[in-house]
Amino acid sequence: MDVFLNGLDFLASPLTVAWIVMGSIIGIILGALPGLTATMGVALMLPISLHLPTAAGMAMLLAVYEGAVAGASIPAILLGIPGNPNALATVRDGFAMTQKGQAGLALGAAAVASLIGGLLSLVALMFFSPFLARATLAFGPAEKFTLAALGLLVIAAMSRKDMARGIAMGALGVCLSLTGPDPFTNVPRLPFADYLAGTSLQNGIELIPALIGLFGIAQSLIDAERLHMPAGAAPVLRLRNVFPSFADLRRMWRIIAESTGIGTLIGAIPGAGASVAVFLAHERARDLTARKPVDEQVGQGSIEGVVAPEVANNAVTGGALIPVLALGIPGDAVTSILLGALLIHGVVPGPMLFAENMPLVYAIFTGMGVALIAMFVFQLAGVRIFPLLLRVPLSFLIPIVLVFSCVGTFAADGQAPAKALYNMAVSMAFGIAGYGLRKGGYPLVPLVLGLILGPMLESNYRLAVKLAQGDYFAVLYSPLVPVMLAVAAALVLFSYFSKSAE
Amino acid sequence: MNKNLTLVATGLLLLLGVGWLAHVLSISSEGMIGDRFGYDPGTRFLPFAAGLVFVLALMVELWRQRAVIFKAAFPKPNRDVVSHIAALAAYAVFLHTAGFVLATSLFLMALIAINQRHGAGGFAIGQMMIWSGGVAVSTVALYSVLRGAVRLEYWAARAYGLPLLREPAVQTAVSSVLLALILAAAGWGLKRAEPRRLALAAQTSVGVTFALYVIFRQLFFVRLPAGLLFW
Repeated sequence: MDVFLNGLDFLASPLTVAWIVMGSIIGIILGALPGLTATMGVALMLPISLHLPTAAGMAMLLAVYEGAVAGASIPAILLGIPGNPNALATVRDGFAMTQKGQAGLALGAAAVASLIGGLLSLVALMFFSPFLARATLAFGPAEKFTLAALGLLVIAAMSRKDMARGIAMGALGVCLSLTGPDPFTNVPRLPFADYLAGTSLQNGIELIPALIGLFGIAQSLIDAERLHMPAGAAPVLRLRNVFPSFADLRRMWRIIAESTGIGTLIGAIPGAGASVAVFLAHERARDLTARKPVDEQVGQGSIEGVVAPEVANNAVTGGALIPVLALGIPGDAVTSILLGALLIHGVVPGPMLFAENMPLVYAIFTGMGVALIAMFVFQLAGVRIFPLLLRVPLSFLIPIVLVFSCVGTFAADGQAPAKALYNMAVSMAFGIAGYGLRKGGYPLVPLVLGLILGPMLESNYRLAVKLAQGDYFAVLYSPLVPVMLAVAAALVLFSYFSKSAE
Repeated sequence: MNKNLTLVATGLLLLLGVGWLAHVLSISSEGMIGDRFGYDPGTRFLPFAAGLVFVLALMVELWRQRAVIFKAAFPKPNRDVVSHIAALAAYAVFLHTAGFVLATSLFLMALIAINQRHGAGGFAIGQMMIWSGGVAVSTVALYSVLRGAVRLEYWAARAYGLPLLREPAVQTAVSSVLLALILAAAGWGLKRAEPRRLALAAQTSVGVTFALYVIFRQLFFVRLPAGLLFW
């Protein structure tokens, strides 16, 4: 109990709560604007989180993440355009409800479903992550290397349909992460050392500029291509009966429970992602409503068709944090950034985090709960504002995101302007490269994962080989490795078949 | 997905990969301290292994694209994207010399105005220049007002024994309220200004610039470049 109260103490400040609330609002707005993603939002808010205490900063980033996931349902319901992939399955029933004049109910149901899904997955996160973390106490350098390598391989293999491109991007990420000096001998490894050795790049590529470039600037450049497209007309709506009744929620208990399970489980699987979870939940809800009259079935504009995917996509947020906190292995782009934020704050996820810094863990969990409540309040309070929000044109949004990306990168090393300027240049270079890679069909998530996991791969591999007295294949002899390989193969197969079904 | 772009990206990445391998081989390989028996794989083992995987995966990818290799033309760059990249580069160059406040407000004004040309109801370049000048002048004026307010708070804290006025959170709150009032007044004053799009662009530029300034400079003490606005 003392530990829990200590955790609460981390967050017991009006300013922290204000940042969480602000994170929720920013997340909802980012999620609601088509083209802006949760990943971009979390990447852009990362520099601000560095200026806050660890728990407050993480809670704010989680608030942005949850807000963006929930906010994506707004354009899906009002315009029939998903704000981001999290709301792909909400479009059908949500937009059909809007056309029936039930937009208010659809938005309200989405908000309630997001809260329920988020809270239930938070319970799962609180329950499972300590167990998983404890299990990793048996891991030595060989197992840690294998775990990171397989995590990277699974994500690379699952990226789009093209495994070779995913693997190439993962390997590129590892290469880029190793441009700094050797961690054991301090031998410099920076290319063009004659020109760059005196710059801040001599310590390698920093994570924040790379993340902001890849997810903030690159996405803005992609959006810039849509500038010449005519903007859709903003919906004019009558918003009534915003809350679904308690009887409605009680009637849907099975859909809510199953969607939570699907979301949490899929979220915890690296690479599977929310888009798989929302379709599975939507399909399951369709099966469960198959005996109803045709116009009440999922797919025809029913409230169940909104609730199921919205419960699932918010349940993904809790599930996705389980491998991040317990193993230090992120499953997608957003959790990669969250892991990066933890590492930058000096927090190393894994068993030691749960053994030595439990108050921080409780603070993160509590912050997540507060963020969910803030998200719910503002999603409901903003129901009348959302149609206006959707009128903000891209011509204004893109420059603002670009400036925010640049200033955010600058602020990460704000006390050293020369270094900050270099970081800004790195961010721009990553942004342009990320744009080119995305246009060329190369996925960015394995690249980011490689950047984050590269140093962990190197130090653990070298320690494992040294402990095995120079045996370069030492990482394969651990009894846990076949188990990990089997799990990785199962994940790849699962992802392959679930994406084919999708 | 554009096959030309994929091919160009693959080719460039392959060049990068080969260059990386050459670079890694030029690094001196040293074992970790205390490794008398030479068990440590050394400095360049993992960078080389990762580079090798990178190049091999790209060769597989290039083999898949062999059907289009000799038909591919270099893809035409998108004009909007090029203009954004150019504006970003200009922003990075002028940030230090012009200072954060001036460079940011002018960057935003220029880019929003350029983006606005896609919609109906155009405007002349001359009008854009005049509005940009207006943005620069109002930025300097607003910066001076906010700096003046902060100095006044320090003076009041000293003269009347109110240490609360030295607190960054309080100063940020005061600046935010002041900024909101001034921007609201400007919005009301520019209600009938023409062309409407440029008026909105100007208000957005100044508003966003100072919102970022207040958050990063006043609240988080980030040393944003002062540039021309040295006071």
